[in-house]
Amino acid sequence: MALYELENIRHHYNGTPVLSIDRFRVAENSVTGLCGPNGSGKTTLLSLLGLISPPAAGFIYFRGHRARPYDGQIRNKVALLPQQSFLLKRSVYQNVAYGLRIRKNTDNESGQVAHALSLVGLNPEKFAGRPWYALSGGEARRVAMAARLALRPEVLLLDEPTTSVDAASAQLMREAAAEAHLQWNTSLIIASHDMQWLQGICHDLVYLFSGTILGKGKKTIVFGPWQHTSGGGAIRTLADGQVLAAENAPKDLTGTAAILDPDDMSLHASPDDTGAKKNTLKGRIVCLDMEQHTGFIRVLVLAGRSEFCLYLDAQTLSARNWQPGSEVWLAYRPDRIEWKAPGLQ
Amino acid sequence: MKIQFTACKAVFLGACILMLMCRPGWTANPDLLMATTTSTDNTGLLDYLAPHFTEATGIEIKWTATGTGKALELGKRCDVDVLLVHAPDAEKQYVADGYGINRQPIMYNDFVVIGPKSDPADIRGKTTKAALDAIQASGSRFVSRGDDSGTHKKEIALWRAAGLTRPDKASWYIQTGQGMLPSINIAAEQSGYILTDRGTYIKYAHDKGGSPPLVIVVEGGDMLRNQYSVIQVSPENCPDVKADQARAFSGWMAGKQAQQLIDGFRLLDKKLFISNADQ
Amino acid sequence: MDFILQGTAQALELLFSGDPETYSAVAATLTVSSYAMAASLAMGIPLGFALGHLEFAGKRQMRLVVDTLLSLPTVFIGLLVYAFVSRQGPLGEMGLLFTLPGIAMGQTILALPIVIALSATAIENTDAGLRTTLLSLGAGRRHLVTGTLWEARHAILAAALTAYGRVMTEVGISMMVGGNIKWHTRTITTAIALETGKGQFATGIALGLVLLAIAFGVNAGVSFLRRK
Repeated sequence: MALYELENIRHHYNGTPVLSIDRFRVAENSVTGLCGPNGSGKTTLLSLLGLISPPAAGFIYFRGHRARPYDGQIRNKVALLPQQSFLLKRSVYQNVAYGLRIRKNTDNESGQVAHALSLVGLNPEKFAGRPWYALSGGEARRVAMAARLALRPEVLLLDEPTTSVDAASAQLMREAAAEAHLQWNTSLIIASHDMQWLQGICHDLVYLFSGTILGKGKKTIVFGPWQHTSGGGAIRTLADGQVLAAENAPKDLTGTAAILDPDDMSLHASPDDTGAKKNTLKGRIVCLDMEQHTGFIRVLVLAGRSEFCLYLDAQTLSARNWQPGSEVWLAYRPDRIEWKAPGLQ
Repeated sequence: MKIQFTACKAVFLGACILMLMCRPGWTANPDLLMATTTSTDNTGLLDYLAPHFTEATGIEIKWTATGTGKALELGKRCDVDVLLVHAPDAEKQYVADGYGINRQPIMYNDFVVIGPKSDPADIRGKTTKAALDAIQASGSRFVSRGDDSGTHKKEIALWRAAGLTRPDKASWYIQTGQGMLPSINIAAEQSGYILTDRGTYIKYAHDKGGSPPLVIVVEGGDMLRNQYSVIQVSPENCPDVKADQARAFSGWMAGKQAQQLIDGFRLLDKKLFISNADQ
Repeated sequence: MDFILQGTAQALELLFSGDPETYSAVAATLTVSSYAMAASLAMGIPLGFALGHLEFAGKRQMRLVVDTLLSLPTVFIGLLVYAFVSRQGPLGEMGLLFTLPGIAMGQTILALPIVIALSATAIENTDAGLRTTLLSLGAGRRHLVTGTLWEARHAILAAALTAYGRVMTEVGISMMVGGNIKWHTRTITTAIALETGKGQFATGIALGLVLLAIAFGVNAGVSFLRRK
């Protein structure tokens, strides 16, 4: 049975559509990452999964049951850590204990609070009595995390937990999340820009863009300005003067973004052995990470200040002796480029 | 939605608190309720008489002091049981209209005209008619209560008796709409003349340490007599009125004990009232 | 000017000599204001919460009405209450005229718009993230209400103190509905009006200072609770 099943979700804020997902499934006892640029709908999706608001249309199923806000069964099992760490106007201790108290789970309350605080690296003796306003940004975020961890939730939804906090706090947040999964089998759904972290712990990575799920594998998104060419195509001039060309462009290019699938791209040592039907761009490798659940290496190539993402296996990389800094030629299929209009239809 | 339901419950709770306070048992009023005038209350006569009344009859009396106009209105609206006021013409009309019964004269004191020692309109010792003539002719400032009180009604009657139209809009005619003492203070500030009852003047003079800025310039004569009467609120108009207690009060005030007490009452060592229930 | 100094000395004398008239007025003031505050808080905070928290048609108009009622003159309220509780009025049978409960009723009407308007503002000013935070910790509808009220507690307390100040110092209602009857419905404020009317300015000042002393005491008590 799936932890979550989403069907035909359509959601909007004040009339503007923000999310459009036909099907989405999260497995039991899993770690799922949500990636995508700001405004892609990650926060909205987490908010729906956390039952904070009901979707404007569509259905959410939690372990097979239809899930609605205020659902007594589910709300005690799911905890959301919002992007802005908002603390209640109370002491740290009371903030962490709040969730326990409303569940009437007060056996050894101080012990539970102390344990949660230690999970995020906050010394209970030093911090328990502090009022809400006497904390740094990172400490406040960690207290908010502790408040969720104290509940031992079965599902933990984290919205950008490591953004805008100091490095030490970010580290502690990551460790605490991992602990929760390992110790309590908590399923994690994490929205983050920290690709390295997500690559490291997630079983599944979901890419969101403009409120829709793009699919498996990180796609490369190239924003405009795109210009039409004769023959129905379009070009995008990159910062260093190189030109990215696409065929079959839509009529209206304002605000449109092009999407390149990593399967349609390849990396070469020289421009010559790229083969027909492919254009090439000269670039430099800037980043290599390992996608833990597949074993593939994600390669980021910078061409004209635009980042392109593709996957290679470790052997290929070591055979070619490609490292960050290596100059490479990126080959892509101009006919396979997809387009995404701004906003949602 | 549940929140609206909770709001309704809370409103109900608050209303219950109010209801608890207003339980008829707690607010039921067994005492006799009287409306009188501020000037009467300010003399201290009622504080002096009330304990004697209670001892003699066993009835507790409470009173509220307002202007004559309002006191009569309270009686009309059945909010009090008995009145003690000093506006004979209005009182007679009141009884004729059926709001009050058994108008019983009790005592009188007098009004005086007071003014600055310098007496700019030169009215010292004159009759009231001559005095008002002089004031109007010289345009000297004159302060009026302007509040439908007994004193104010007397003032209006004096203007009429002098054959003059009341100088409502004249710049030297100041209508305060306030009680006797505040009006006297205004007259003192403005160096003007004002009609006042002797009782209030005695207190005022005493408060100024014996040398007040305003002194008595005109006194005496029938026109300045200030007659006090007790009127029972009509049981026909007000079925719930405490008619028996009101009658007891009226009877006691007109009786020998009260009349003697009234004659013996001293305000700052000065006799203030003259009993005349038998007239 | 001299009556101010005289009045100050007299204030101390009245308080420490246990002057019965003064203490009777103090008791009357405390009684009516306490009842009025209890009733207006019990009704006003939930209504203010609803007005601040919920969205409904006519919300802005309702808010406008409440804000306008903040300017009700006390004498006007006194007249209205009198119309209702006088013998000839609909509530005449309850015998509320010239009684302390009658005054309390009027003072509740005075305090209610203050409590509602300021509570609504307090709720509106709670952080937008509060709802998400409470829900994300597993709050149900009831906890959402209590949690929000607790978060806004400082502003709501300020609302209560504002209303209390207004209620304790009003004269119009006490005079009109209470009748300023000695020992029974004479409050400090009506006593001040009376003494000033009699020209006893020093006593007026003295009583005013007594009132301030009470207000100080109440606020000190509240401040102590806040510290905790």
